[in-house]
Amino acid sequence: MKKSDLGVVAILYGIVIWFTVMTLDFPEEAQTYPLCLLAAIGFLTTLYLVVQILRWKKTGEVENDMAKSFEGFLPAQFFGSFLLCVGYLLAMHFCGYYIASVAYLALGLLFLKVPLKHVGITIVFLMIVIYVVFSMFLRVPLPRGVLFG
Amino acid sequence: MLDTLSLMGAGFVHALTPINLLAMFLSTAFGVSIGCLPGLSAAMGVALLLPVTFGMDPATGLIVLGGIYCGAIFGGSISAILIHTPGTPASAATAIEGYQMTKQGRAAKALTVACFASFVGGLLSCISLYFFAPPLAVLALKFKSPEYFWLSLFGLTVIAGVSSKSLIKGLLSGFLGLLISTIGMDPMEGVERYMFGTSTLYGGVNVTCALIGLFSMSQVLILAEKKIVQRAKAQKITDKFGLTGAEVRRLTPTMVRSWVIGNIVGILPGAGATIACFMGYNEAKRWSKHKEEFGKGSIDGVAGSEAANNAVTGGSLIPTLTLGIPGESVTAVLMGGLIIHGLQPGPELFTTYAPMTYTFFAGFVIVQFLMLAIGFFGCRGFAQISRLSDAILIPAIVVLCVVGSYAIHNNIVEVGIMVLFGVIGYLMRKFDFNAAAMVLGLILGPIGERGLRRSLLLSDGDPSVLFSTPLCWMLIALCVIGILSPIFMNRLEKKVEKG
Repeated sequence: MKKSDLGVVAILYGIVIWFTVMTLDFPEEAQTYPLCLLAAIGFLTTLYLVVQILRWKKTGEVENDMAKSFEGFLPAQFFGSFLLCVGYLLAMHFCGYYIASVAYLALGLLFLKVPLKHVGITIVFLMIVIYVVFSMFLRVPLPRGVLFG
Repeated sequence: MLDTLSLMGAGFVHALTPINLLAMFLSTAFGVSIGCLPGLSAAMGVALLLPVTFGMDPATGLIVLGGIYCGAIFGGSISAILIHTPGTPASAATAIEGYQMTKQGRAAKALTVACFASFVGGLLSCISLYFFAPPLAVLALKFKSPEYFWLSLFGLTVIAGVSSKSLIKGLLSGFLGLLISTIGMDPMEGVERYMFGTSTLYGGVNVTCALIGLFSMSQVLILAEKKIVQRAKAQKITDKFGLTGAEVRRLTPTMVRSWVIGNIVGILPGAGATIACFMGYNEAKRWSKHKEEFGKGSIDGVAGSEAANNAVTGGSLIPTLTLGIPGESVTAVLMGGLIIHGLQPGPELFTTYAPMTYTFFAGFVIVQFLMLAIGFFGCRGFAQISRLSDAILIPAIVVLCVVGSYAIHNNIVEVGIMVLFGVIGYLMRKFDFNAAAMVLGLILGPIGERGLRRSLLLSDGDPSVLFSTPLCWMLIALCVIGILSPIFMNRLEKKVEKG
């Protein structure tokens, strides 16, 4: 049995309960199909739990697989990159797509210790590609931002 | 017959327009670039470029996706040969002989063999596509609502079972996908379901956003969690590109054998290019007259592996286009592309939309020729691309994911949904769940729901309608086989690995 399995099973049961509560608010005709799916997920989760318990009874061990799953995990780099990504989305809302993208790329690349010359080349190359493909070819009105829109 | 021939001819005429040729060239080159970058998959490349195809004619859009698919499968061999790191798992067997040849100063020869074998494997797989897809689509004509319900379940059981480490987790992934597909308006009752007050979700979760998140954004998170290492420098290419007549004659039986293997593996849902490349390599070794060369740089080994993995491409499109059962993640993404263009896999593709389908088929053939040319003349350049640092790829992919998911409906909320699916995809990969099964659940969900609810509506709620025809029973049997097939596949994989 793996330690992560307990968390996985708890989350899946949580999803089943949460969605079941929401489903019971639907009119009766609309409940059947989602309830069938939720029953299937609940059944499979229970089956998975039973299989893991039987395995645990056989071996008597709970394997701490989190260390294996996250071997070499760099929290600062991971969460830093993710937060920059979230910041990028927020900046896009205020400053528009192009300004936010240039800022994100510059910060993101520097954060990951890319040499300055490569930062410049990457930004110019990507912005040209995106402008040609999305703005010129597909004519997608990219966000202009509340500050400039 | 004449109709089919004229459709095939018309397909080539449409596919050979300058815009289609340009699209094929660019997409194949992009696919090769993605393929030769270790860590990036063909599915990721197809998902990333999916939004770009929206503004295109459906046939052109599908040709672009096909070009990325074929290019990426071949591209994996470049880094396998030059830096001993397969760009995609489908080139793992190529690395064994290819890198040995590189160390002996025969890198250009290895690349030429890989390129030529990929071309032959891919081209021959198109023949199967032309011959087997239409008859299978005729079978799908007999499907009614109950059969569609079972068909969607069959697709799910196959992908969930075969491509997951744990069958239960695979099935759970699929059912979670089905549950997510219920978000939005109820198709029969017009009731809002799980919309959390967001009008963006009226039409349900956008499949493209989910695809980009699950395959591309999650890859960003995977890359960002580990130390960024400098990739090995590609070995210098000192010899000349090209094959002699004697070498072509020597490789021909190996390539034909690998084509047969790759095609069968491709048609079987769930097996995929990774298994095919090892099977092709093993059979090349078994039948080779130069067994002593294996392990020391055998051109037979490279050809066997590369012809087999590219032969999978055409084969895997057969069940995807005719029955809507993609056997692996790339074809699941491709099927998403098909649906986004307003097309449903099945008989209609070979009747109402036959001109578009045959244009796609013709494009798939032409892509093989372009892949040969791009591979042959661009190997040196792609060798440099394969060294591109993950530090550059991480922010670059994020920017492309964001613009791609925004471009679908010009809606920032969908960008957020894409990021959410990125996190879900990352966690799924960490805990051995199956992103491809979830995507398939999302795609097949509406088909299955419609099938089930229409059947029950027409039978006044009598569930026996779901077991009323021989076709239903055949599909139920296939579902059972789909669930049991992982046992068979695991044994096959172990046997292949042992050689």
